[in-house]
This record gives sequence, C-alpha cells and structure tokens, in this order.
Amino acid sequence: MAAVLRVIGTPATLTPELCARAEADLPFRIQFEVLDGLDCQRRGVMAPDSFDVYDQWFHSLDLLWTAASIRPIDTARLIRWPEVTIAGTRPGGSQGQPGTWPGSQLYVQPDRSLAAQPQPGGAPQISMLPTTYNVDSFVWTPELAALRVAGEPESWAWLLDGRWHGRAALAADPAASVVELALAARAAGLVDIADPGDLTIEETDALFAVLMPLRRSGHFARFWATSEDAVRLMTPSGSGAGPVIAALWSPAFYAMRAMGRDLRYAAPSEGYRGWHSGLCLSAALSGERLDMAYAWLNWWLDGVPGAIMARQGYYMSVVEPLRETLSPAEWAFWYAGEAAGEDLPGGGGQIVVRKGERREGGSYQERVARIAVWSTIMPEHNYLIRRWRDFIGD
Amino acid sequence: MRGTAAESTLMQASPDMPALAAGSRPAFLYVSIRDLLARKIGAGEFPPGTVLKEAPVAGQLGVSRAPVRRALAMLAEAGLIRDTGGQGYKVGQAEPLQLPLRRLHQILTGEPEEIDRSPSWERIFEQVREVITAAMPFGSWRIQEEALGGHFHVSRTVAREVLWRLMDRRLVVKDSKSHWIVGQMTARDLRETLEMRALMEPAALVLALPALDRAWLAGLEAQVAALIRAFPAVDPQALDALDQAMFQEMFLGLRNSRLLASIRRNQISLVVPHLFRQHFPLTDDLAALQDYARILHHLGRGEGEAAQVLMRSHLLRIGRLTLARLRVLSLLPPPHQVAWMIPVHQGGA
Repeated sequence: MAAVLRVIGTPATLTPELCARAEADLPFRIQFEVLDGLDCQRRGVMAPDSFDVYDQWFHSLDLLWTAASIRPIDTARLIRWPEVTIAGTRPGGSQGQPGTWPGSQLYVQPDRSLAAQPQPGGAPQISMLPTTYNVDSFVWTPELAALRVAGEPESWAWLLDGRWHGRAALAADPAASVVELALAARAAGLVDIADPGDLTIEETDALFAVLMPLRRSGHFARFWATSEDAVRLMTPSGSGAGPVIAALWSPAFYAMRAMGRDLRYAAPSEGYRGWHSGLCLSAALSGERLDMAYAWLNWWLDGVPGAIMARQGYYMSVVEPLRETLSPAEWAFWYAGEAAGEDLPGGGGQIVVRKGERREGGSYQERVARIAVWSTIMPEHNYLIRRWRDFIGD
Repeated sequence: MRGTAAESTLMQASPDMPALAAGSRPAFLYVSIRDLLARKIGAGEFPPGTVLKEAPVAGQLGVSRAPVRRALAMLAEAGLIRDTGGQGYKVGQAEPLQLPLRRLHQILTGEPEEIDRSPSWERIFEQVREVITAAMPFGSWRIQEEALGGHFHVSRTVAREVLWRLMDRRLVVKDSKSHWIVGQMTARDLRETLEMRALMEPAALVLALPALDRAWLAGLEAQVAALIRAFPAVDPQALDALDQAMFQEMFLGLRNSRLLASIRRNQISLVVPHLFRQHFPLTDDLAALQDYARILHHLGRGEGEAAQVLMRSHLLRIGRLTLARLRVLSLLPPPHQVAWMIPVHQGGA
C-alpha cells in the first residue's frame, strides 16, 4: 500500500484550497487533520506518533522540541532555504519586539539546544521551517464608530472600554489573547506592565484583577477558537446584538468582507501582535515518509501555498515566487499596501477586496515593523494558564 | 499517547526515592516488603496455595498498594510465588487458598516492627512528598490534615509531623489562615532556586568530599557509565535515583547543618525532570549523565575544585531546560485528585 503523509494543523493554514491544491500537485496521498489551535498544540507535544508533519505556531516550538516530539530539519534538503527570511526584528536593543521572535529558536545546536544563530560550517539544521505569518489586531463595527470621539486613535484599550460594555470578543488561545489584553490594560492605564510578552506573577495577578470583574459583569461576549468560529460569533442572530469589537484574524475579516459586512480592521496606535507559523517533522519520521515530508516542505515554499495564504491576508517567508503566483493587482494590494486596482478574490473565489480599498497599516514591511509583541507562551505559562482558564470559564 | 500515566502519578505514590535518613534498613519500602514476604514464605508461615493480593496485603501492612505491587512482582520474578493471572499471586503448588483477613493479619504482623522501624511520619513522608510535588505544576492546593492522616491510616499528629517536615523543605507553606498550602510551582521559583543551587551546591561539594565514601562514589560512577552506554534505553526511575544520589545523598555527610538545610530547601527544581521523565522521552538527560560522569570522575580522584566547577556549569546549563520542561508539563492533564488535597482557586479574588 502506498504511504500516506499525515499532516496536522489548524484551519488557518490547512484551508480547503490549500489541501485540494496539494493533493493535485504532489505525487502521494496526504491525510489532513484540521484541529483547533490548542488541540493541535497538545497533539504535537503528546502524540508524535500520530502525525508526520506538524503545521502550527512558532511560539509552541519550544514545547515540541523540549518534549522531543520533533526532529531537526536538514536545510540542505530545502531547495529554497537560501530565500527564506525571518520576519520582524531580533528582541533586545531599542528596536526589539518582545514575545517569541520566530528566529530566536530556529537553529539546532550540537548539544540539542536551540539558538538564533546556526553553527558555523555545513548546512544548518533547523527546528521548524518558517512559512506563513501575519500581524493581527481587532475589528470594529459602525456601531463603535458612532461612539468614538472624533480623531480618537485606534487602541487596544478599546477591548476593555465600557462605552461598548458586553460587546467585546476575544480569542480563546492565551498565547495571543493574553498579550493583547496586556497591551490593552497597559494602553488603558489600568496595569503597569513592563513586557507584554513576559508577564511577571504580580503583573499577571494585576491584569486578572482588572479582567475578572469585567468578565463577571459580562463585558466579554464570547471567546472563539478558529476563524470560522469568529465569523459565526460576529454574525448577529435573532434579536441578540453581536460584538462591536473583536480580536480577529485576517481570514475571518476577509470572509466577512466577502459577505458584505461593514467592518474596519484596526492598526492600533500601540502596534500589532505578530505571529509566525512553521512546519515541523515528527520525531517518529523515517524512510519513505520522511522523503514525502521534505517534498511537502519544499512545496510550501514554492509559491502556490504562499498565494493561497496571501488571499486571506497572510505573508510568506519566501516572497519571490509569489510574484509569479499572485496577479500584479493582488501583489500590489496584499504585499505592497497599495489601493486595489480591481476587485480581488479570496481563497474560495469570492470577492474579498473591492476596487479602491487599501489594506490598513500599509505594506508588509510597514505592518511588520509595527509589531508591538509576538504571540508567546510566556515563562510563567503554568501560572498564567490557570488564571486564563478561570477567566474564560473553562 | 503520552501522559496517560498522569492519573497514576497521584494514585501510585511512588516510594522509590531512597529515604534521606537511611540507616541500616533498606532505603526502599518495596524492598522491605519483599524481604518480609520472602522470609514468611521461606519459613512456611503461609499455608500452601495462599493467594497474596495487593490490596489486602497493603491494607494489613498499612502501606500503599504501589510498593506491595512491586514487591509481589519481584517475588514472582524470583519464582517464590506465581501469578494466577489477575487474581493475585499464589504461594506453592496447592489449590488457591483465600486466607481470612484475620489470618493474613496474624502472619504479616507477627513481627510488627519488621518492615519498618522508622517513625510513622517517616514511613509515609516520601509518598506524601511524591503526591504533592506531582501536583505542583498544576496549581495551588490546600492539604487537609485530618484527611491526610485518614488516607494513610496514621494519626493527625503524625500527619502534622509530615507536613511540618515538608514545610522545612519549602514544599508546603502555612497561609495566613493557618491552612497547609502547596503553592503552584512557578518559573520564578525555579529560576531563583536554581540560582541558589548554583551558589551552594558546588561549594558544598568541596566541603562534603573528605567524608564521601570512595566505594560509594566509584559505584555511582560505574552506574552512570552503564546508563550512558545503554542510553536511551534506560529506566526513568534509574535517572531519578541518580539525581537523588548526586544532589541529596552526596551532601548527607556535611557537618554544616545549616548549609545542608539550605540546600534541601532549594531543590524544588529536581521535581521537574522527575515528572517530565514519567511522560516524555529522556533525550535531553544524556547531557546531564555526561556532566555527572565528569563530576564523579574528579570526585573519585579527590579533585574537589574541578568537580566544583563542573557542578556549577551543570546547574547553570540546566536552567533553561528546566523552565522549558515546566511549560511542557502544563499540557498534561492535571493529576487525579486525592481527598486530602483540594485545589485553591485564585479566581475568586
């Protein structure tokens, strides 16, 4: 029986278009398992025998590596490795972006630790192949616009703002939501936080001392796990009024734009939350399936997946081939931050961007330069996660 | 699937750690039980066909089931008893015989002090410690003194004695309402105690060296070499026992009792690899074994200064790994709850 490559990931990257195209392009069968973010992360750590390729966040890399769930990737087998660039700026120094900068744990060292620099000599071994990434914030509706003071800058503090009490929605994943709420509480002047990517125990307690009463009084409408979830949550049903502000990923935003929803994606004055995805190889991989996994990694860098990701607002670690796979109008809107010269389709073919629209925040270089903090699993994660579960009522 | 043993972590409180105050009696409870049963079998005290089951034996001896299970398995392996296939173990060839509990009690407790001459608190200390430390990465807990005593069939006074001693190791604290609290293990605790360890333990090594038994050191060195050769096919419990030897037994001969007490109070980081090894591959422990081999090599030759430097670099090196392992532990299901330990919620604030 022919071997099947088993890929686990989330709906963010394993979109129907991407899966269908992969089946068509690659000469072997692929079994996709699409999980929500936290389930995927848990599977990656707990059950390396159950997948061949893990497709998820860079900030969970240190969990997988420490649990010895994944094996090093030999960059000599990656055709476009020399073209891979790591988004963002190195932490530390005045320009550093806190949280988990994706480059910080990229290279495997001889003692099995991970570092930001390769060992000299030979093709480096890496822990995760950087693929797609983006900068995130939140959406707001015309209802919020009506309550906004003229000229008031877009701010993460809006997530906690009583003017739209009970109408805010957040993501369920603490690696994203806690840094957003830390930015929000800091911007609102409610909590002193030195580094929103590394909360101390006291900062965590102070943050939740602000959040718990808001939660109990019903300020946060609901928590979502995937973009599909978020779209459902943002769609009012019956007499209930939906959220007017929601932390949101770009696929959900463009899906709702395709439905004709009037929404604005914010470019908050404090900056964005960045995240990066990548691909890992299971520690249990060998033989034919290992070769198939490398073929999968190479396919990801080849342009087609990058174009599919671009049409939902994501960027790619290898940019050049996208000039072939995206139309000039698509490139101009998604990457260059220019006004759309024509209506642009999303992954499913529906129109997600109308002629004349311009992406908030500008070009990809401008948007990435404005990352305030990367998604991260903080050093005090074990402490934080309990407070978070209490908060979302897990 | 990893982590399926999580539940058993609490249920089968492992007594496998060598007791610190080791005297002439065996360090492991299961060894005491095995020896007791072997003597009784050898002396023909059990009627032929007697079926020995984990629960009744544990109940009569006043110990938990895990050490009894292990002792029975060892006796079966040695051919003294035979596995009846899920119905316990049989002594001799005769038809299976279920002893009345009273008879079992008489046989087992004919020499009441036989399995353990230590005070009651000492007998259960390691088991309580094991349950408590296994729960630490998952939150804060309140211990109910009376329920603890009830669970281990000891008086409340004995339960309290255990808790005082755990408090002395900083594993338990008393809060403002005088409740016994097991605090959540934080990254800060680990960072700070690892810093303390890197300051104290290398220095203590030099002080302890003159009193260290060279034969014991040589044995340990041979054990480490064997584990390195067999790696990664090694028993996680062997690595746990080695950690105990390297960082606890090593310092027992210290004359400075304050230093010894301070070392013990700062060894919370040893809990992390112990818990991690129950669920995840041992991959990153090879480097630790290699560190141990070098440290022991120099200690064996009386080269305290060199051993001290290596010990310090080992403790500094494992800091980041220990913190990363703590985060991985957060993905495990929280341990199965026991009646004497209840979760403390901070959300109510």
